[in-house]
Amino acid sequence: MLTLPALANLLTPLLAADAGDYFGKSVIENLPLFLHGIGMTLTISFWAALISFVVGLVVALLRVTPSGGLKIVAVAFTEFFRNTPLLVQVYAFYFGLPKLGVNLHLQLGPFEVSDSFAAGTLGLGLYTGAYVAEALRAGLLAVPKGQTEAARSLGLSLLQTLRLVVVPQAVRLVLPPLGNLYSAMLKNSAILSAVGVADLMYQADYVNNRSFRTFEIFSAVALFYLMLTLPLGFLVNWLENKFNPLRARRLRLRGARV
Amino acid sequence: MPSSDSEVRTISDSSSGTNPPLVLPAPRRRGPLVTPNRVFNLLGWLILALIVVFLVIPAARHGNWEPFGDANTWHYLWDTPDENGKPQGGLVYTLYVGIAACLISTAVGFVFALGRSSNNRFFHGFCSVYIELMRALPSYLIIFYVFIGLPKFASFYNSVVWPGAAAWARAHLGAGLGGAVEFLVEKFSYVVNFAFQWQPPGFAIMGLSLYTSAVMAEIFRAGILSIEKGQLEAAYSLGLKPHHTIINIILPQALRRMVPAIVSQLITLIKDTSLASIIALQELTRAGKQFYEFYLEPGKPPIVLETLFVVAAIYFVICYALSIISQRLEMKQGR
Amino acid sequence: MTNSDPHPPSSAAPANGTASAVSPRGKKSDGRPIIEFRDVHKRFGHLHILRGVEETIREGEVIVILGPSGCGKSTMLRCINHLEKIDGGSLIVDGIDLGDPHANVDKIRAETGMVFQQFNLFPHMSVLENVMLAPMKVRGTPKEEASAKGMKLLERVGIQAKADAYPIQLSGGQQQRVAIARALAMNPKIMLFDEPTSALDPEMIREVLDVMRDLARAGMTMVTVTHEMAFAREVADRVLFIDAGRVCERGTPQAFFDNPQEARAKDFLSKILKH
Repeated sequence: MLTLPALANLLTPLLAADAGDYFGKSVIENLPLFLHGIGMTLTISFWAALISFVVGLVVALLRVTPSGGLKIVAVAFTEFFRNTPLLVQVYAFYFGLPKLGVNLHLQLGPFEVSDSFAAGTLGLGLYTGAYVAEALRAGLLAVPKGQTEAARSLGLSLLQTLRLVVVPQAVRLVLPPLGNLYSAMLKNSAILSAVGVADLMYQADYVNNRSFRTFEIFSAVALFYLMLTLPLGFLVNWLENKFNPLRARRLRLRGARV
Repeated sequence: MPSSDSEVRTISDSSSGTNPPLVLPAPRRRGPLVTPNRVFNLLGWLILALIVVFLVIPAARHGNWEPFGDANTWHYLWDTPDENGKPQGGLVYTLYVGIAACLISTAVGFVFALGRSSNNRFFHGFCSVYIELMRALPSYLIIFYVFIGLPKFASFYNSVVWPGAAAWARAHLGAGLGGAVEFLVEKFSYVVNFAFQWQPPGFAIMGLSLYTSAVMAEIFRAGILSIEKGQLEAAYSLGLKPHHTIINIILPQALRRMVPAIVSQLITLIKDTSLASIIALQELTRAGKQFYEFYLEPGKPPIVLETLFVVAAIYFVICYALSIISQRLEMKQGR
Repeated sequence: MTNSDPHPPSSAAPANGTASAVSPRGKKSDGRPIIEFRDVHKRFGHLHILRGVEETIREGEVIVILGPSGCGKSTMLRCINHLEKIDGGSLIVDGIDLGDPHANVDKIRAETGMVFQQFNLFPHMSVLENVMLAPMKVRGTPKEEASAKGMKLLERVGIQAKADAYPIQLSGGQQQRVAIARALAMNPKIMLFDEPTSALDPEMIREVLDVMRDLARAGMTMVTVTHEMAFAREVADRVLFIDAGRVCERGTPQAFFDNPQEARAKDFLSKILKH
């Protein structure tokens, strides 16, 4: 901490008001708040990820089953949630549901869930769930039909075919896009601060309104978000290389040539 | 040794024959994963009927849809006109921000894609860092950053950079060159201050462009990299210059492959314009929010969900139309 | 032998002045050297592919390169077109040294036509557009002229009926003939064929070889990597046998096939001719 302020002092005339002050002071002083914000961002992302995966799986299965009615439900769900802004959806849950008499302020045993948290998690989960459904469906359908036929002709049952042949291949196809989706979801969680979820973005806004040292605060927040999203990005790259080494090598080779 | 005369003739003979194409497009669709089941199918239709009867119809009947029969409501959502009829926001602003950000980010993204593909280490590094940084940050944060940072940069430029650079140039570079530098520094202040005064649509456009251009750059790069090496070799071996290879061989093929990704990014962009509402831009989402907040009709219920539904439906029409167009284009290519 | 056969003027008429100026078959060893390999080396990482290739190819010669897979045949061919940069020695093509970093590579590429194993036609252009592209963009030929010439070339390879089709609508043999026409459109002094029939179904191989045989008769300088031994025996002026990155044996097809000198060449031929 001795060198950081010293280094920051070089920037002080540029970015901070007084001498003795240093760049990043408000961030360091309010670090607990920011850590709380990060915790909330991760919490809400976790629950939204869970909701979105369950919703996505159900909707994807509804779409691949040959039932006309269920297909319409599934298509309507995915198309509506994918083609409208997340902010509008979250507003509808947060401002709209209470008007219908739905109480979002929940007491689940010892856990109290605030209405903004409930609306935000639901909104983010359903929005991401629509994308997850499409990714899962694409993965299931991308396994060549010959694979199913070969498995069935070997005498495997339908469930065995799905479990031993189709799903293992689909997982490889699906994991990289899912990784991208969840990385995007983590970034989208910042939108929930608009309805008062006390996440990283919300805390940044709060500290900013008290100290007016906007530039350093939002630079720090950008850094925090990078720390959250970049590992996910590396994970996706790693998965892509692991499951598709040929493609990765080809890209590298071409990248060197062009 | 066979007679070559007869062989020469076979060339033209076989060309008129109808040989099947060697390269067939990969099959796009396949049958259902699970074999059809009549009971299951009926159950599905029943669930759909239940949803319609118990959810959709009551929502439509009990909602207060009266304000949406009024032309003024639609005027408000369309462009929020002031007393003189001048547009102040609404869908017009959403489209304005979306289209401007789309054009800017396409151009900027193309430059960054070329930069990242270049062999020059500096360009490659700079473009890579920009792309990865912007893609890793929430667009919400980027818009906020521009909203807050740009005015700061403008005032910093006006108070420190401009006078400082001008004084330094006058002192050290002499009348001619110093004057030129002073002139340039002064002119650049117009650019900086224009961006500042252009708010809030300007900030929204800039913030969205920063993010979208990085994504576009990656789409362009992936499209360019997807061209087979043999295409480049064929072009080079014909003696085509690099710019001809890019314009005539790589881009026409790459663009076709990129259309779905570009359109899906456009849809994201249109949806992301709603984020501009948090920097007080009166675009469609904020217009809708203001509309239901100000709507007070004695004896009538509030219209929060109704308004948000209408707003969502407007976004839906735009985005869904885009995705349909993209699907059509994709099918057309699968010739 | 075939060189005494009269061939139809329409199919054998050379499309360019260069080829027609070359002396008739049989006197090619007197032609001016057009490709000279001088101790050419090429490495891919730690793989040493070409290890000092020495060879002189004269104007109008038809060369067939043979050798076991992975011996550097294709690399040798691709070096002539500068698709691969040589790492050592000098390679002089039509008076230009490709080892020189300031060599005018575009000029060499425009003067050598290349035909690939995988055809590499441009899928977004029609057959005629494929053929017209390079003359228009590189030489600045007007569109009408390029189109007329393109049609003439398509006629020469017997595919004029498909001028407006797209590559995906053609068979492999037809695509490869279009690729030959496309390469000829630049009036190349040298034609390079990199396993032109290896990706083709057996019944389509002959139509491509016929076009190549025609070209050879018209006096084109040709360097071909192929596994078609009958073609090599019939059409080649000289056969080069490459092994372990060097030219191991060279000679007329008759001498090479009937009486190979090197043990490795004998071994190679015994494996090839048996099946």
